Amino acid sequence: MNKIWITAGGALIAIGAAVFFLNQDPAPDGPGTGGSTLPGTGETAPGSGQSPEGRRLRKEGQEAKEADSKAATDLQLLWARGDEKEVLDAIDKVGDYKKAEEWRAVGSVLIQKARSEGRDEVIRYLLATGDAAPMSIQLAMYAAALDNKAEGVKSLARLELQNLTGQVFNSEEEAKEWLKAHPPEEEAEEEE
Amino acid sequence: MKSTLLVGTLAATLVSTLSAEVFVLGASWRERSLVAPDGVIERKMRNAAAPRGYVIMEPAAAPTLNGAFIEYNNDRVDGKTYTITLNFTGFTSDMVEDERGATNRIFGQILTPVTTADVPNAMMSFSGSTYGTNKPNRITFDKEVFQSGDSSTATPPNMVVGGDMKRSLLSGAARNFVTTSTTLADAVLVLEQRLIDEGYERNAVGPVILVDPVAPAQRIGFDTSKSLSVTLDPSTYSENGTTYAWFKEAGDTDTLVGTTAVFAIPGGPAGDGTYYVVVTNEAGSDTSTSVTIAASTPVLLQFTNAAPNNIQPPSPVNVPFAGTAVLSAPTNANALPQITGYQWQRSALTPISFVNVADGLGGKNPTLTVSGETSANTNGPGLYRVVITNGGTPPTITSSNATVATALP
Repeated sequence: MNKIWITAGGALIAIGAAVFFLNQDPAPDGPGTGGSTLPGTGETAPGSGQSPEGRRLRKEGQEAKEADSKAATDLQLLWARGDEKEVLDAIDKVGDYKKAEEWRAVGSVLIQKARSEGRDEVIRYLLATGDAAPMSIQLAMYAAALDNKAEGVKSLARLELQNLTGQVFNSEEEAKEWLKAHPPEEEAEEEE
Repeated sequence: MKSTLLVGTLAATLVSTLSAEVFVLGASWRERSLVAPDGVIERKMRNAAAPRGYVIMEPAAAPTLNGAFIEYNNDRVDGKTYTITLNFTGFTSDMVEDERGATNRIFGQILTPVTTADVPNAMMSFSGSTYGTNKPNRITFDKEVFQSGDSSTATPPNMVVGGDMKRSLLSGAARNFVTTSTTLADAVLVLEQRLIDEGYERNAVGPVILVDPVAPAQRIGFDTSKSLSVTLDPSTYSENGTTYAWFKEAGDTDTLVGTTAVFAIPGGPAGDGTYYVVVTNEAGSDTSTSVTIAASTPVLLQFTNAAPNNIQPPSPVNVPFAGTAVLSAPTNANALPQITGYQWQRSALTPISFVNVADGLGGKNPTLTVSGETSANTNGPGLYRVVITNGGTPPTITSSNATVATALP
């Protein structure tokens, strides 16, 4: 029975995350903004919060939210220090994530950086890293990169969005509108 | 019902159903690099790269896959470029069904573009999920280190003390892309067009000779129908074209004998010898193995009716008193040795005694004009035969049956 609730809760979290990333508005760059742009996790559990199961799931959800917040803030702070090697190392660590929750914890930072990062090697490395993320984050990163200042990055984002959706977009807004109407199916997590 | 993006397993199933047999993986790699130019590991300015590629596959007769790979790069160093590899075989995999038999996992290896370390045919292991029965859906490349160049280590401790070592650490992922193409060729065209539309330019690919020139079957007579050619890797590409230089081995300095893709072997002894070709474009060149063309089998001329190589004597003609007719000497372009000369001879009907027709009356031409009137300036009615000379053995043959040129009243 517990397993069913957890599975149902997980599915809702996944759907909530997909909707969240596709509806996310551009956020200002820089450290200390993680709190306002952290990924929401949507509903954390079905049922009444008064039941023991409901309380437990709510608590787990709260803990997960706090852990996500810390991961995103840490990444933001590290990025803000500006050292390219450190940033690339941090991106590498993100690229090693196996679980969708880990990706979702830092998803908003990745999306924001896809929009604002100006260093050529870093942005391309970041976008390639996003290819290993869940579909909703990958799409949101490329959509955000459409508004990157570098023409080469815009071009890359336009091409990859066309590869993934069959559509050609010229701005983040345009892509987000379409993606809202055509949300991706969340993929099953890979087994270890 | 709300439409959804065609991705993942659902999409894969739809694509698999609707567009038949072609499937595409969009892959990207993350590469971190180090170089050690003088024994000290230094970080190059370009220490990260992100090559990308389309892996296009079309099932053929089991278990074969026809494949193509389009690698594309978009960065400040190289600009927007792409390279097409046809007959791609750099994707191999095994399928493993889970215990419940519900889903399949895929494991295999994929060819990997490496930017810094100079490692040809680098392969990375991967694992992932499938759609349909055996098509890769979402795969992750295991981290892999590629290293090239020379380095020497002091032992102990193990420290790099010299050389020019390059080291690349790669990881990456791929997922299936939507395609409406139903053939591999069409998918290549469609995806290439996407790149062209985004301003990518195709890289030249140096020629690679897949099939070396092959000596033709024994040449019979003066045979000019035989040729030499090579088969290039279909990925060979240059906007400026590809050139061919055919050489005939001749001691220390080989002789350039042809500059076309197909080299026509000269007939007779001129064609005998050993040949090779150098194929070149802006991205490189390749040299074929040598092939030896053996001497041709002679075809001797005989005045018989036997086909196909022998020849018939000139046919009899009737010529009006005030008119002319033409006698033609038999020819055979395939004769070996080849015909080198003619000599027409004439005799009265009785007594028979042949003498050479004067040169001035066309006695040495392949054809001879005869007249119905006998005079000093004409070849009048009578018996004619032709002696054909060639350079070989037998050196000379004579039409055994004389041709009658009969004057009509």
